Amino acid sequence: MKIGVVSMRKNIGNLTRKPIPLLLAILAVLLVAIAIFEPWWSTNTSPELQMLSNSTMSINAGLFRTLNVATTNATDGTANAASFGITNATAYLDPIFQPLNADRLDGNLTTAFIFSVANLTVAQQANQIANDTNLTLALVITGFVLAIMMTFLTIMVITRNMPVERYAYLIGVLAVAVLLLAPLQMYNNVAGFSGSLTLDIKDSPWYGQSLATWGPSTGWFLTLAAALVEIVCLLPIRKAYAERRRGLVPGLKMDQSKVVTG
Amino acid sequence: MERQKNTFAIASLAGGILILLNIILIAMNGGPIVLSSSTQSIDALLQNSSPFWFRIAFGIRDYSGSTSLAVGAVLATIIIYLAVTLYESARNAQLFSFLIIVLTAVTLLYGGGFIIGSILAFIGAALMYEEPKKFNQTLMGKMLDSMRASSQIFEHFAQESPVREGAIVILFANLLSGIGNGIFAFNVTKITGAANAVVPFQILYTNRLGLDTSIVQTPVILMGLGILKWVILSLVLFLVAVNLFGNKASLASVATLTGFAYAPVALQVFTPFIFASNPYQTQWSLLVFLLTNLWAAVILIAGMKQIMNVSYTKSAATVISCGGIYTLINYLVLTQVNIPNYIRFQIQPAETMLFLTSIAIALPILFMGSKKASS
Repeated sequence: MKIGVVSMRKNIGNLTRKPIPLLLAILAVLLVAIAIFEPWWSTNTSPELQMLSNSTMSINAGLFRTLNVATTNATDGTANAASFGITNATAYLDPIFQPLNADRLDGNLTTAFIFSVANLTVAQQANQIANDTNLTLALVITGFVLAIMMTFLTIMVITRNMPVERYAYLIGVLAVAVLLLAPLQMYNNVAGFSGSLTLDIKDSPWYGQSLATWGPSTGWFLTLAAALVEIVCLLPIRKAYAERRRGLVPGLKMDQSKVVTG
Repeated sequence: MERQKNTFAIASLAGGILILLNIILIAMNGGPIVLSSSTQSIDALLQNSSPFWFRIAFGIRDYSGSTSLAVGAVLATIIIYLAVTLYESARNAQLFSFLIIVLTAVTLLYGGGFIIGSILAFIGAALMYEEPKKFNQTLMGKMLDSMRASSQIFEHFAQESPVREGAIVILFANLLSGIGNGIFAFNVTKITGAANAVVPFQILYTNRLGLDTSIVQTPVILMGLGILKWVILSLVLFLVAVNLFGNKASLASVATLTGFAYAPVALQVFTPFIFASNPYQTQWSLLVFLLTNLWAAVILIAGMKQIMNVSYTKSAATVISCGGIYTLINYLVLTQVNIPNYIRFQIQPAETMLFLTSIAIALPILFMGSKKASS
């Protein structure tokens, strides 16, 4: 005969004993929070061009419709940084690119040429991104709120033993969907979202090498990572929900270590 | 047992998180994370008398595009998911652990979670694979115990002699060593044979490593040679220890110890993470080679002491003497094999090498005497 000793634990088993899903949910929330303020699209001079021209350039576009441009020139030791509205890109970028120097490049190719191409590309992309940021920002903030709600409900399950795993799971699924949609729709909606500019002078040893690249940046990747992390924490929550449905009453768990066989 | 299982899963989980973090940092950086010792121009680095310079890189440039990084992030998340699943339940432990090992190997292309992440994920998964065995009963546990020269594991080798596991360690260590050496040597050849500064610049400054199918040959040949070397060294150790010095040991226990002593050689897989300026390129590879092989020698000395039940001096004398014979056979026979993409270290000229090996063989015998002399 087996006598099961029912231990009146304060908290339910799965999520409480193993709090890793909660930690991952908090990690996902933090990642989205950082992603909101980080650049979502950027263009940078390649290491090859940095070496050849002794200068660097980076342009970052965030979700708040601003472009941040930073340039450095090691030859004369200058560094410039500017921030302006994303729709005014063309007007602002020209004077910033002019001082950059690439004396070591092939005679036929001047820095002005490279950067005017980059300038056009950036301006074109910037306008497209400007049209898209409102939707992306709305999606990310929605995903952020949903992720917070899911984390809050998970905490309620663990600390208050509230039977809300089902809601935590459903809200989590929504959060994942929205957080995945935000970067993917931006990637899809902005034509030429990522690309590169290569050197097109056949006589140069650097022919075909990348001069500048543009594409998704920190915020874009962090949101994608947050969505993936959120998926991982959904699985134990679903398991906890299934256990509760199967009748494993919260707070009443069979403690196998105290089973007496007689 | 539950606690042990959780520790293994947490190790894999921590590894997965570090791998994901590494990928996010590559995305933020816009390319691989390259940390160099100082700022030097590419022209200066390619001179024969260039200044000392080295760099460590996490992530390969050709795998740092947005699509590649998105794939990497998904792979890292799968590692995290599998680790969390293993933490929750030991069901499908073998399958999930195997998947973590495979994915961890792939994520080395993305920097492997600053190396530490891949080591943690791999060790956790390898230990989990043999659940519910205790740590020191698993193959990975035995390897780690051997690497820290634990006396208990050498006692285990003396009593149970798991030769098959020794052979697996040989294959494993040579596989990883071959991959590391193959990639490193292939890229060093590209740097030294470059017609202009483009390729050296891209390898040294941006970690645009060349990966060629010929690199596959290196680990395959090294695995075959590794088994031969293992048999030779085990036989030499056994014959010298038992027949010459009159100690008691079984061939199986000596072979097991020799196999596990090769475990540090697996660390050579990390050689291509660091590249240096022109004259220091091969010195870096030599340093890794020497350190891992010296580590293996230390394991052999500690293990032979335990197996033969003798002092450290006698054990060291036996290992040095056998090392001399082994080096000689290796030089005369095995170095004739042509291994592609492999930096081979030899003492030159041959007379110096022969002199040093003769000393290594003769001195221990002269000081300790043979079985007949000592008895």
